[in-house]
Amino acid sequence: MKPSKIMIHHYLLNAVRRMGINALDVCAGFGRASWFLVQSLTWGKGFKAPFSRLVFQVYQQGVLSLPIILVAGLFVGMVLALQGYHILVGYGSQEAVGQMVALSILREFGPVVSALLFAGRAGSALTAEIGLMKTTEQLSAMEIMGVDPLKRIMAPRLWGGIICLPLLNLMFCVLGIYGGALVAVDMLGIYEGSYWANMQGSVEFYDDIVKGVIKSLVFALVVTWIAIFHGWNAHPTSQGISTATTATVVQASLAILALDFVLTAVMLGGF
Amino acid sequence: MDNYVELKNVTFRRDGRLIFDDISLQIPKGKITSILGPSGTGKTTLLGLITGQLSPEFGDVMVDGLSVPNLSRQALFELRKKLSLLFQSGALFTDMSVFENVAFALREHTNLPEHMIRDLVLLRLENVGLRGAGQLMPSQLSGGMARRVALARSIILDPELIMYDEPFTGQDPVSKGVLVTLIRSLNADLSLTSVLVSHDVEEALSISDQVYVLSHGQVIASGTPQQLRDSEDKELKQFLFGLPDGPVSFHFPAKPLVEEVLV
Repeated sequence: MKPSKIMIHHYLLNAVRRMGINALDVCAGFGRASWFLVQSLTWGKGFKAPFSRLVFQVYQQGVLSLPIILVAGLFVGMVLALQGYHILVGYGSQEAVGQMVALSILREFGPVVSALLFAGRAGSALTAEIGLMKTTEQLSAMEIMGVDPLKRIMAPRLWGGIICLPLLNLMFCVLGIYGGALVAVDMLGIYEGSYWANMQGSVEFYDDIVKGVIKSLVFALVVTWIAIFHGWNAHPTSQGISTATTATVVQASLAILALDFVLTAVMLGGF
Repeated sequence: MDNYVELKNVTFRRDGRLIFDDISLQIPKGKITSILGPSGTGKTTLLGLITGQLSPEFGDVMVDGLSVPNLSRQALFELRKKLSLLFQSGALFTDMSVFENVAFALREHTNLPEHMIRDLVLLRLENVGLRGAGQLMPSQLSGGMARRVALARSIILDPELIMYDEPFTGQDPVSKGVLVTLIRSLNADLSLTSVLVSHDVEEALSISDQVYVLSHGQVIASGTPQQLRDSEDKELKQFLFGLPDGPVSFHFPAKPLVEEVLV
């Protein structure tokens, strides 16, 4: 049977209505997440107790992420040196491998890879922890006792992430550059003086190091925000926590890659 | 009579489903009021409305003279310092010991010295018979013990209103008896207003001054326990005496069995 004009009209109207509802849902979700961020950026009265909670979060998110960050940094640096050497040797510029490793790690690999690893390790743990607290009514219990969970639970976690990731990024970079030296100097026989001198001559403190840390700060805010919001917003079931944890890793990873492009373009003056 | 909580013509929907349809009820100061009703009638939702975790679609919820849905976030948190809720699950903080769970609100809301916090916590744990369990973690407690720790935690700040959400569910007879005694003695000793949400009819009636029975989003009966026992209302009788036949059907609406299975 051929669909009548009225049926097509209804179908199109429904499609537009669904699009409208979805768009409104997205706007409402973004509004909720923004309100949540503003509330979580400040914490309540006093200094001593919130500070000790912050220190605990720096330990949980930062210190416990060190092994994966350091090992990953070392291997990324080693691979970069190996690949760089084999490309540069064709042009007789293998002495520039130190410069190549340092610039790639400081500008891109350090901030991006450390943020991706942070999202996978600390971000997913944050979502699962907060989601489980919600499922077992611990957040509700806190609310009923007149304690705002956004200040008590979310704020230290958010600030913990903002403090930790830039530091983890710097450590990733140090290990990456050291890993590059291990391969380039010790394995491939590049003169040690040129490896370090080329690097020293080309790396600018503001353009390379500070801008990398700025990227890292932005990634830290976004990753931790996504992680704690998904935990807060999780359906209080085991499947709800699993879905929220997956959403954290997927959304945070995509946000890091998209923001990296935007920040790089802005920093290089591309816009 | 002076009321601590008043629900005025409250209508509430969840995911489009009507939970309360224009209900009104009053919870008098200093008394134990039970909210009874079959599972799924929104008894716990009612507590959510009183604590401001949920907002009604229509109507008003007054607690201690304040309109809860119209309070700012800060004012709501201030009001909640006077309220307390014993969760069905206990909702203990799993990363804290029993002692720290009970001390939590004191540490958050007061600047008392450590020795005074210790004394207050031990006194509250003594009230619930768990003074010796202060160093245990929640994972080491039985269900009944966890409920008692949660009770100690909920009275640590001497609240004006305490709400119990299904306190007897899953408790053995001894724990049930202990909880009944505790609720009664706490209400008398601390001059609390208590709201007890339950479907354990006998225990609830034995300690209540006033009872409301909810069903299908409405208050179907209210009065003293004796008035309810004497009532001739069929739906109320079915619920109070646990009768399988009556206005409330045991079966969820479905096609006839013969039609569904044999055809």
